[in-house]
Amino acid sequence: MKQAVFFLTLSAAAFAQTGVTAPQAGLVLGEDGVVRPLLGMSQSFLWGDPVQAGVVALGCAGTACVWKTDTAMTDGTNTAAAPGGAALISVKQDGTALVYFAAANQFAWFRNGALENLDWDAGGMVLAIRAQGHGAHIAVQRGSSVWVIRENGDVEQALPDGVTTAALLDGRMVYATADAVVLQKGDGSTLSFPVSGAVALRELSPRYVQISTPGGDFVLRLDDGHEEISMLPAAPAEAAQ
Amino acid sequence: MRAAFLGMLLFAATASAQLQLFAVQNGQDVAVGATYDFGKSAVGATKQVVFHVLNSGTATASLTTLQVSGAGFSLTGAPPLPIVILPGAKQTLTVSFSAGQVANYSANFQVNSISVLLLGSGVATATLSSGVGCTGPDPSGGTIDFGNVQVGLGTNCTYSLRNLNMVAVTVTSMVVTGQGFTGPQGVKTPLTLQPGEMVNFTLSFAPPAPGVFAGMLTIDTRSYVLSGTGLAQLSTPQLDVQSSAVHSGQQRSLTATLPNPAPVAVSGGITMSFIPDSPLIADDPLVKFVASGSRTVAFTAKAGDTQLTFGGQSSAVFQTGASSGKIKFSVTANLPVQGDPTKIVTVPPDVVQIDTASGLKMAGGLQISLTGLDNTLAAGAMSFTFYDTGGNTLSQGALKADFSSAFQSYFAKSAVAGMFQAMITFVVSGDVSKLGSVDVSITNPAGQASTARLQLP
Repeated sequence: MKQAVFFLTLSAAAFAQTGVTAPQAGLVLGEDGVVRPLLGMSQSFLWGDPVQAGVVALGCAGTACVWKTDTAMTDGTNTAAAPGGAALISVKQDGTALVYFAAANQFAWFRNGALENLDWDAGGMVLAIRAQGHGAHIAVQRGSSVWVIRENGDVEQALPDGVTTAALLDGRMVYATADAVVLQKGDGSTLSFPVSGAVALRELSPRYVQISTPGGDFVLRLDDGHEEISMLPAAPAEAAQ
Repeated sequence: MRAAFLGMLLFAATASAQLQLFAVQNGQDVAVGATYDFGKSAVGATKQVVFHVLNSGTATASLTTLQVSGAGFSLTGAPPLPIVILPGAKQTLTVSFSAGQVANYSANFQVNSISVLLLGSGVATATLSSGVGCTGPDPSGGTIDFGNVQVGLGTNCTYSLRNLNMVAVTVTSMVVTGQGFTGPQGVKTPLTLQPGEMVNFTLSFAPPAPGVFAGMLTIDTRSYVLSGTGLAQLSTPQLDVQSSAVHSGQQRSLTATLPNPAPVAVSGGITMSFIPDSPLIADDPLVKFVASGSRTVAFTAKAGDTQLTFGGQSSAVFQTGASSGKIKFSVTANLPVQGDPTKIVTVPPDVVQIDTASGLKMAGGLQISLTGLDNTLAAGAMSFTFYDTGGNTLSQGALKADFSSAFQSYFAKSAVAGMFQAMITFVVSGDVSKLGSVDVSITNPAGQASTARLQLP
């Protein structure tokens, strides 16, 4: 078979332009409401300088981020007034964000600087959300059980007993029990990591999930075959400028 | 007659000073009679007795005669005569007795018209001396000093009693008093030492707390002050890094154990410093303790503990960083630390650790993205071997390039030392869709690292 002929040349100019940069694991929202980039990879991490303060909730898809202050939603360009208090945010690749306002038990789309309330009711305490198309996957606690449902209430999965919190990823899921953090892969297989007392799970990027515990934060690496837990160094105490 | 009688009455009303002599015994004035016995005293030792001369009269007295005459006895530190003593007041005098040999001694103690016969006996005693490595009793004060001893530990010293006299000497009692001091061990009293005979015994000092301690060794009539200082010192902590060889890009655990239990509650910190191999950087900010997010982690230990704890944990996790070099751990505490409690961990140069690699075809070209860790900060040479969709190597073979300059420029300013994310762009002349995959390798002074075959979607 005739082999195709190619001429490949390295674009040195292009290399110089895109160049070499510091790897970043994602943007992290600290307990102090400050958002900082987390630089590094694998078991070596470093906090970057604060980029935003006064943040209550944060969601990102690649470089597109949406965050909530106590009373507003913003994507850095457009801002809309929002109910006060905690929220969950899931951002799609097109920059549209699905938001759940916990105190108001209200789902909404945030796009182009406007909030569009949704008539969804998860029927319990919402632990995690993930926007998909025009709908969503929702992890909801009803009584002592946690379910993953669609926005119309259809049940997708019942999580094991003892689940305290969850993060819904693209084709995968991470959930926590009292003494473990479990990664459920797309094929349904699970990997369990001995982390006790996780109170929050948040997707930093397609490669990392942040695990918050009272004793400190961890990072779960999601790369197939390279799944591992690392401790996150304590964040500096300064506020964003 | 009446006038004479009146005169006599007047004379009686203005009568005299009256001096009385007392010996001070156990803090009390005891009237001295015609004799006063100093008792037995070891030959060569000095015994002192304090006397008070009281003016029990109503007029001022003048002490004009003050004298001790007789071998072995002497007045110590008496003021010059005459000494004026007001009514009701006392004058203190000290008389010393020192027997130069085994014999009975006497002397006359004259205080104005008061005359007392002083008596004393010199007795043979054994001579106390210290063993090898121990000190005392010092010739001037008779003090035995144990020096500085760590709290929680103890020290023993061997002493000997030797009879240097021509006659047998009997030791009736040997007593040690004082907190922290014990003994004598190895000897029982009463014991008799023949001329030239010697017996050894041990004294011990184990301070229960930091500070100065005093005690007494009493051998019959002789007393020797015991002294020692309790030092709270932390024994040299043994710092260990878990298990196998340390490399860049890891999290490791550091433990610290004490060869001797902590003498008291301890607190302090372990501090890291880093000396990079590469001249491109002065430090590696990724080298840090995870719990504190800094180069120092605090530790504590309770009295009696043999392990330092870090926020209640038995180990402290640290990041080894992203550059080769040496990590040095040092210890500071609220107590002096014995020895040199530092540990140096070498992080060796490694081939590039490739974390992620991916490729993507675009119009007219393709892009390869690589994230990795080059702890030599000297990577540069790269090689790309392309395959068509049939898995065949392209005819031009491996494309080689040297990006040393780009990497060096980045590493010199990098906030994450040797970690990098590199984007390499290729311009393709030909049908890009026919390109299937690529092998990528990157070389640094430690060697070559290669990716698995990257598919080009």
